[in-house]
Amino acid sequence: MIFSIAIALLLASVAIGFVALPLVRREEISGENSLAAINPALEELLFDREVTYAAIKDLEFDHTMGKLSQEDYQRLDHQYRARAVNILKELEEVEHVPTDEELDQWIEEAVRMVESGHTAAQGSGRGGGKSARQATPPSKKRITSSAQCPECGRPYGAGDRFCSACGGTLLPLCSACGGTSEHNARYCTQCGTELTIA
Amino acid sequence: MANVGHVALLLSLGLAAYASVATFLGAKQKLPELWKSGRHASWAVLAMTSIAVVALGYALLSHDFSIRYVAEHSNRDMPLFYTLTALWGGQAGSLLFWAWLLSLFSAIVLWQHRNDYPELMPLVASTLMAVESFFLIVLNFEANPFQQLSFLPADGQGLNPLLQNPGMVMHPPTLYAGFVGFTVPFAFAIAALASGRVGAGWIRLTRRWTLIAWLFLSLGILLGANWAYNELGWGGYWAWDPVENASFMPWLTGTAFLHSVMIQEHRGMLKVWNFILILLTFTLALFGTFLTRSGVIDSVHAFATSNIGTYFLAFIALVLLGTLALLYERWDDLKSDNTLDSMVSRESAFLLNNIVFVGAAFAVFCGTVYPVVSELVTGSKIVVGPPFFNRVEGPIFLVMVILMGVAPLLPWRRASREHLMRNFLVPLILSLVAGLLLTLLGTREVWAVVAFSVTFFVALTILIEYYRGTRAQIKRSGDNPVRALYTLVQKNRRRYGGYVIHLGVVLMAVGIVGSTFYRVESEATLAQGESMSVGNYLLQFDQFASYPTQNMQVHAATVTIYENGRYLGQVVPEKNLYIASSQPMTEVAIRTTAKEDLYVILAGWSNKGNNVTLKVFINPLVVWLWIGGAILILGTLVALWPDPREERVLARIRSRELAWETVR
Repeated sequence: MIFSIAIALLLASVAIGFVALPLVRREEISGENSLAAINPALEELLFDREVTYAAIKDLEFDHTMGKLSQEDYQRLDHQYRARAVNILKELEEVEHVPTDEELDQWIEEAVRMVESGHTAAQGSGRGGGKSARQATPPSKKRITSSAQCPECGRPYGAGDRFCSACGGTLLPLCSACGGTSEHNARYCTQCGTELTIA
Repeated sequence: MANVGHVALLLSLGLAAYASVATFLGAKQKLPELWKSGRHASWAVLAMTSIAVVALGYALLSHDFSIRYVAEHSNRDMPLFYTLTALWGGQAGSLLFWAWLLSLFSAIVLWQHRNDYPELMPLVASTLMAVESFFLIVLNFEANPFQQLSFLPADGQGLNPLLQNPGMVMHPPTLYAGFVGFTVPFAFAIAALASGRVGAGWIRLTRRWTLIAWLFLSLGILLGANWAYNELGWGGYWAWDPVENASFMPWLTGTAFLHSVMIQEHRGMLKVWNFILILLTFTLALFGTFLTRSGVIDSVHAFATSNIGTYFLAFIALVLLGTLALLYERWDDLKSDNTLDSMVSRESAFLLNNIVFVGAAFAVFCGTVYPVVSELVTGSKIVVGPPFFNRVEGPIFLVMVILMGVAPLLPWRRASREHLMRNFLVPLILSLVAGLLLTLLGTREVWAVVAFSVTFFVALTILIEYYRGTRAQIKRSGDNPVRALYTLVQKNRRRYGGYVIHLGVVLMAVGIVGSTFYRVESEATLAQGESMSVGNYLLQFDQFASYPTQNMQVHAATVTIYENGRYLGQVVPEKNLYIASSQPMTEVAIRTTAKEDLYVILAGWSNKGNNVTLKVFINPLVVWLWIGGAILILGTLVALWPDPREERVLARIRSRELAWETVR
């Protein structure tokens, strides 16, 4: 009986000691061990990039194996490369390290927003820069119609020839009436306006 | 020793529960020291369960019959090897083994990623330890392997003689390793859902774990089939026994999962579906343990009957409801990035493959639980026999095999008509010719002709894939064919390992079709010197012997075999009586060739062995089932082998994330 109590105490104390160690020592937690939020968007983008690279390689492989016609291969390859470029651009944006001038500008902007009654610029320390940055919406091309990419369904604007999301070929969109025309059309088939090519 | 075991199990439970809560809180409250402490607790669980396993092993070896488990599953006459393996021969021991394996796998996962993915890993650990806690609760309060008897028996009851066979010794641990292995991807899935990182990240991180689990499960099923064939002595390898089904269902959904994750990786589709598949696979693995261990359905395997069934059902319900709630919560994040472009593409073939696999699993599930449901509703147990399963599953498997041949040749996104013509015309014509030849050579069974032609077609497409790949590689690098083939496989392990697996499955299909359609069966009672003929064989009964060994009484008949009048040799089928359990065991005599197995059973004897009854089967092509199985395992190893490039990709992602952290 005494033997088993001794064993129990011994095992329990060793286990508890081992488990409590990190709580007691509270060593300097380095970046590697920190639980600070890693930007999930960044991780998603990095994985997406690898997946897209792999897809491009796969396409090439399928093509050499004779599973894809030349035409299909070129079209798909183009699409995937466009997607890769988009991912790289987005990565750049996410990973972008702000310069001092940019930071000043954001702070000014954030202050302006607070003064004008918005509360978007809350947060402090590490989060501050980011939420301030959210205060400046990235300049986007104005979308003039409800036309959507036939490949991925993303809306696009007049003058766009390829989809910004998937690289799919788009039908020309008229800046005047918002209607779409055939490929290679020079004038809008609905209102006769000359089509702009960006 | 019993005391040490008791203490270790209780401490394991405490530690696992603490680890589950601490890691969860660590993630929620962003407290790295709590996460680290929880990780330590998980490793301590491994230490404690290991102590419990060693304690039970020691108790078995030292014949400590005061422990109920030892008394019920071993005795003094058992060989050392089987005494030790009695560790997983009974219910409590095998549950302990489950818990120990899970703690081992968890410890490895947490060690691998101790510095990575800080948003995911604490939740992974929490899930793993929650599952571990469940098993430890069952072990501590319902099926304690260290439970003591109030008296000290002089000897134990011995291990079930059916289990005293090398194949059966390895069958349960491999099967359990498969079941437990699927807990790891499941835990990552839960962590992905809980943390909202529902992209392909969790799939990439668990790819190898999924394959390892699948490897063990496949191996376990194969060993089980092989054991049934060699030991049970009814002439077959698969009887759609509930416990066989229990291991087959997670295999089917796990296989579907292995395939469908590829679509998510390539095309960002089927995200919800992948979560559901891994959920199904994990719950079916739990269900499998439940079926084996609860005795709810009578079968040769259901050795144990107890009320742990209630625990399992409650836990399964909890897992299902919890995961579905999480899925519902994340529904908006789980939209597909793409849509299906064409009905004739690799994606759609994968999709069809998924439907077929899950359909097959569903059919098996229905057939397995039907007896229980019928007993609940009507009061009498209606057993669904092999004819039901063969009828339902046969055509499904045929579709699976066809898809296996077609899908790898289809390109992603869209297949053009010229492409289809170029890739399928030759194999299609050749397999039609093969089918025609088979018919001309006298094969009359329509399904056999169809099945053989299909397997031929698939084998052909796989070989063409290899040929084309090698040719492309030669063109690219100018290597010699052998080197080119090596580079090809080396660079695309996953793809070409997969093809090897497919080839293995084709060979297995050949074995299954052959032995299902062309089995010959005969039974005769012979006096000494008399003979019987089966197919081309002539079997002559020479003599009968009866003698005791260490733990059994052996009865053996010596039979001489002739094929078309040519002397082939002698076989000795036995029927042995185990003394401790007074259970008879059939030792089958099997003579294997590439063409067929001659399977001889000593069914009985009379007149002091002057007359014996022999039961003889001719099982065509069975050996290809085992060869195919070995190739399947080999292919899995090829796909599984660590790929330095894959490691580099993950390391690259990790370092970019860290860089981003530091500059911010």
